[in-house]
Amino acid sequence: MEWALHTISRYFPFVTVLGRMARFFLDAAAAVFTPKFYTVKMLEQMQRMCVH
Amino acid sequence: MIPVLFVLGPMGAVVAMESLKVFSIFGASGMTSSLLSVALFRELAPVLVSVMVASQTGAEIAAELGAMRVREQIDAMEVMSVDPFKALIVPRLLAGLFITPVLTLVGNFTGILGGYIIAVMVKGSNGGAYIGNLFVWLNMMDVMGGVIKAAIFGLLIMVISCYHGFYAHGGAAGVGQATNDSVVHSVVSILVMNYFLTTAFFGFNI
Repeated sequence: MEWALHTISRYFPFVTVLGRMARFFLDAAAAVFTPKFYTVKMLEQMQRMCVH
Repeated sequence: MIPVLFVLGPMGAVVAMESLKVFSIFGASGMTSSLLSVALFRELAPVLVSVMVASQTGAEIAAELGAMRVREQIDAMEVMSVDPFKALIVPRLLAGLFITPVLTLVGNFTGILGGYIIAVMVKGSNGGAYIGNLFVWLNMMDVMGGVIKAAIFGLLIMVISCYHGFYAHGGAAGVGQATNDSVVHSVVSILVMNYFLTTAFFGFNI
C-alpha cells in the first residue's frame, strides 16, 4: 500500500501535466472553429518551418 | 528543410550500405532499394523528420512563447481582448500539422537519393535494378501511413512546445527550462507514439 501510494504520488505530476496538456489542446482545437481565422499567421509559421 | 535533407540523405546511404552487404551474400543486392524504401516511408522519415522539427521549430516556438509570457506580452494581449490561443497557438498547431508531412515526403526522396549514391555510384550496384525494385514492396498504405504518422507527430510537437512556452515562468531561466522540456518531451512522445501508431497501421498487416 505504501509502495502504491508512493508510486502514485511520484507520478501524479506527470498525470497532471498530461491532463493540462490535453486541456490546452482542447482549448486550441476550440479556437480553430471560430469565424476569425488567422490564415496569414499560419502561412507565416509554415514558411518559417520550411526555411529552417 | 536543409537539416532534414542533411539527416535523411546520410541515413538512406547508411541503410543502403548495410543492407547491400547482407543482400550481396544471398545474391539479391538489387533488393536493397526495396528495403530502403519501405524503411524510409514507414519509419525512418516520419520519425527523423519529426525529431528535427521538434529540435528546431519546437524549441524555437517554446522559447518565443516563453519570452512573450515572461515579458507579459501574452497578458497584454488578453488585456486588449485578443485571444492568444487564436493569435499564437492555433496558427502554429495547424502549421505543424500541415508542414511535417510535406517535410517527410521531401525526406523520403532525399533518403532514396542518398541510398542511390552509395549503392549505385559508390558500391557499383545495378542502377536499373535499384530503380526497378524501389516500389516492389511498397504499397499505398505504407506511404499514407507514414504521412499520417508525420501529421500526428507534427501536431504532438506543436501542442507540447506551445504548452511549455505558453505556461513558462521564472524569468530567463524559466524560458530555458521550457525550451529544454519541450524538446525532451516531444522526442520521447514521438518515439513512444511511433510504436503505437506503427502497431495500429502496420502491425496487423506485415
